[in-house]
Amino acid sequence: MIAAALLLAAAPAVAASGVTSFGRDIVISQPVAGRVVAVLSDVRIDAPVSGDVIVWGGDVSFGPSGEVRSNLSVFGGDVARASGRLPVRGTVSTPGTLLRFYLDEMQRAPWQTGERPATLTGLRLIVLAVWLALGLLLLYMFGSPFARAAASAESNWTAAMLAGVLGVLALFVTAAAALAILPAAISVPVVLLVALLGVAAKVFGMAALFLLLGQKIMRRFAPARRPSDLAIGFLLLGAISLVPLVGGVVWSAASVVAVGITLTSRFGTPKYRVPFA
Amino acid sequence: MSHCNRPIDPIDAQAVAVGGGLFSGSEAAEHARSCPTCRTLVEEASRLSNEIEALPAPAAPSDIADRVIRLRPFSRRERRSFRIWRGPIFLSGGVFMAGFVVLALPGLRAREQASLSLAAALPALALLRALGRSILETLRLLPVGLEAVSGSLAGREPLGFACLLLLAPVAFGLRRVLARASRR
Repeated sequence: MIAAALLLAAAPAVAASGVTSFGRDIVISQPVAGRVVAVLSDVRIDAPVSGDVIVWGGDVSFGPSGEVRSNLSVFGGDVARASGRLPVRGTVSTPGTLLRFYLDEMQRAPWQTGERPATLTGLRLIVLAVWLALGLLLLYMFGSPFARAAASAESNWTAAMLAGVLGVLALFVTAAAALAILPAAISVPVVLLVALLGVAAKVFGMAALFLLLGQKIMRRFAPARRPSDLAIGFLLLGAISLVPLVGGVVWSAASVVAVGITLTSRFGTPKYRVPFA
Repeated sequence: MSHCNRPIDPIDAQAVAVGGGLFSGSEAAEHARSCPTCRTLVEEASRLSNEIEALPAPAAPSDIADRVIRLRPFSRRERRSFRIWRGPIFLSGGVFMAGFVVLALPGLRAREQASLSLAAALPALALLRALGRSILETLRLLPVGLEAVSGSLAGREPLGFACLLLLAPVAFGLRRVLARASRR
């Protein structure tokens, strides 16, 4: 809460070399000589920016005289433009999103995606198919840890949820502290490691959650039924994830619980190991 | 009761009572035969042993078999059996194809002049190329983006220390939750 309060209270810092904002939307109405960095905030560009524009968790929009003379990178957000080409001289990047690249390959402008909701639905279905394939592959390679993680979550849902919330919070706070205190040469690898841990925990936990949901629905726990149980759990969560608004919230909540399942079950490792004679 | 200058300890007494086990067992047994104090200790250990042996064995929980079966790994046969994997694999393929059809349909309509197979292949190629480019771009730009945030945060150490302050109770809470979960 302290960090969140500080983060949100921090007004956009305007320096000769650039603009930095954390948690507060910014409007660039005067020319900026340096770069613009915004975290958890939207950026509206109404004047030329000479340096890069880097936005984490926010959208970028352009006014009539807005221009970026270097690169535009938007992590976890969208780029909006009423019509025509984007006024960016360098490259436009939205890392982590498949949509922009697909539209680019199909020679369609990414900022005109509103006209093509089917494209978004199609890509979502394909990503869901990849989730199921990944879950099955992991189940095939490490069957027992998933069963153990699912059983552990079933026996203590509260702990899994609480551990998920605290675990995700700990990952974010660790990353923020590292970025604010350590020099970039150390903090960037640290944050990448933290992100890797988070992704691994989510992937493992989601597969365990699919399995648990399937087992609960079908009321069966035989190992030979695990693949179909995992698929049934996936079908339930995947179908909900396609519902507008609710789907995103449910999938995000499931992701948090998934991290909790991974942490409470320690990636499905057994509590006791009994050596065979 | 007479006093013994070299009383055997409880572990030796137990070993003698159950018939050996320790490397000093024979010496201790010899001593216990001649010393009334130590003989009493051995008899008490023997009585305790018999009482423990007579205790009823705890009954296994009724669902122990289900719990073991639930956690056991796949057998080699199960792992190799296509029958148990085919349904989910087909489902995954089906969802992929459904997504692909949703993607490709507008393209098919727009390319009525082109051959149907070529029109169908275009979205597939576009998807593959887009996937590769998306992964490469993410890997390339993630460090750059983080470095930019780190550079922007350079003058805001109080924020970093506030995060550390917040991390302490969060980590403590997480540790307690995990410890409780592992005790269950």
